[in-house]
Amino acid sequence: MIMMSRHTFASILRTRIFWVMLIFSIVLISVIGYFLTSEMIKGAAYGGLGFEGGRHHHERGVGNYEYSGNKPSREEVDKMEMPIGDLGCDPEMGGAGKMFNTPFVAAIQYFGFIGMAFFSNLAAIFIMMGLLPGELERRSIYTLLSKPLSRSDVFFGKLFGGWGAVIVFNFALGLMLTIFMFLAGAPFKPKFLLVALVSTLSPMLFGTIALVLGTFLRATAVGFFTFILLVFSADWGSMAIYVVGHELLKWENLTDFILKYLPPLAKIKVLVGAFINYNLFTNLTDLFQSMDIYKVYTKWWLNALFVAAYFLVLIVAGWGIFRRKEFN
Amino acid sequence: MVVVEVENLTKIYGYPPMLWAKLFGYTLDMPMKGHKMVRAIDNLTLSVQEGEVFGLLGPNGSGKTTLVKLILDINRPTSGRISVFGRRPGNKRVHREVGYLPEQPYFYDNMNAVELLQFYGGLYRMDGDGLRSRIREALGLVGLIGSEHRRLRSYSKGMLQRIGLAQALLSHPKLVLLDEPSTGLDPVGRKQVKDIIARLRVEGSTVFFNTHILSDVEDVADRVAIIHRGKLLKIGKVSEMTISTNRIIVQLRKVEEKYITALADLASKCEVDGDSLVVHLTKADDVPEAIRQLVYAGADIFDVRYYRETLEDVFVREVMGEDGQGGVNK
Repeated sequence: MIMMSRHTFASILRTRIFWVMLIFSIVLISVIGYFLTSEMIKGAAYGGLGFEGGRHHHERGVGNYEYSGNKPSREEVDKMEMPIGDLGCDPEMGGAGKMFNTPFVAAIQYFGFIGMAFFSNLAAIFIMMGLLPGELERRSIYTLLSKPLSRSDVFFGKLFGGWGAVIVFNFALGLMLTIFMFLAGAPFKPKFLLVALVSTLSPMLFGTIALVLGTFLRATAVGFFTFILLVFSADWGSMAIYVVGHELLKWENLTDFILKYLPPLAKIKVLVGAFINYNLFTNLTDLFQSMDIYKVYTKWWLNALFVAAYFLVLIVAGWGIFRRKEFN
Repeated sequence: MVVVEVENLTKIYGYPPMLWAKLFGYTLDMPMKGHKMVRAIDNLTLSVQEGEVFGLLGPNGSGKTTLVKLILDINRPTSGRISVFGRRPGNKRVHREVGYLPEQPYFYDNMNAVELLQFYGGLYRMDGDGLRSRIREALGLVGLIGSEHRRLRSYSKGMLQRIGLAQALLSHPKLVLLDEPSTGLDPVGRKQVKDIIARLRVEGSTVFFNTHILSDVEDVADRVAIIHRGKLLKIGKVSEMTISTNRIIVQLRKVEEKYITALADLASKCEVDGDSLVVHLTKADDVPEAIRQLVYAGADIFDVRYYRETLEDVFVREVMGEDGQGGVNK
């Protein structure tokens, strides 16, 4: 399995497309970010989601702001101390809106990290979608399966090798953005490197979905097409989840309630039920881009549990399919 | 010792999983037409002994490649049993002893030959100087020295076939499975393949290869099996399969009608082929008598030999005799 992982990892890094994607992502993020500065950046400063987003954060009582029931004005938001770790703000820099000392830094910080998530996810799909169907397309799977490797070795070798490449991609992107920020005059923050590293979970998950799709497809192109369909359907799903989730949030702290009052069996049932009501990627953003997690939203370990469950279900499904697959 | 044993093996592509088949009443002997299923292997039984060169013959679509894939656990049988070195296929320990050249092999084209062989060698846990010298040896064996640092994407079809052969032989396997090893090779390459097979036999390896190039089999195989539409038609040694019939070929100075008349009591049929007479004797024991009669009739005899069938004759007879035509599985 180690040999297979190393081979997969090296093969991906050897391809020209990997480096083209990486350079393209860095350039695009920097250029677009630079030209989308000024007003948008000012908005972005209020909580990483624009002015409305910042206000939205504070409606829930984050930082030093106590929610009174009325929407805070812009002046009020200006005075707020934002939670440490929110990408848009830093109390050490004097409160909301004052962190970005140049538009360029702001651009990289805001658009950079959002762009990073986008491009890394995209790259992960590109990288991992073709790993298994690609073997079939070039007919190298027959030779591979005749070697002293189990099907599990091949599957997990591809998975770990693919993950390795995705981590390199994401971390390289994060490193470059951090260096750009530093060069543009922002204080060097090792935290951003950490963010780059841990935010890799999202592209890793996208990559895993792509790999699992690849286990029952014969052509990489079909995989991409299927993925696009899935993303569209997931968008609708996300919207539904967003609505349902926000309706739930109005009631009370759901997870606190579950943990405090329900007996163990009921807890499991409710958590399983809640599983589909959580927007995975919103939780991931909150959890892994080191933003404050709203108390009303969920417990950190529940987020981690959801993420682990997604990985587990996908990996077990992909592994099961690949082990039984016939290669005609 | 039996290296490969196949017993009552059936492979039907598109056959539903066992539970599904039971639930919906599918049976192996039901007609597959209309169910989008293909019976690639049909109740096949054969075995390959240690150290022998076994040739599997069959027209296109007869199930040769399917059989090799079943032996390697790339595909799974619908019913029946396969064992390789006494174990079930797919076992890592089995695969450690197996080298396989797939039909029309393609590899990671961004690698060169050495990198590819290093990767495959690593899967056999070969490394260091041992692997390096073995790579050199394998490349020399297939005639790729000098091209080993070129990317595989620049290789011709024949060169890919050669690197495929090199990777199959890399680990000194006890069982070598070659799927159409001569395809895409020029006459020199085909001769090299035959030499490699002969060398493997001397080294004690078992070689199982399938082909539809009959001359390859005739020259190197100890035993041959002919399959058609997944069924085993004939199996045995090449010499047994091409055994002489009751026909003799007598070379004369000149063929005359009186010689044919002289053989009327002994032969069922006489054919003239230039200055030779092909005599279909009713009994094999009548050869001396037939020669005597020809001499009495005044014939000048220069040569007498048994007529031996070629493997091609056997193959065509068996395959065409099966259904009056060749052709692929339907």
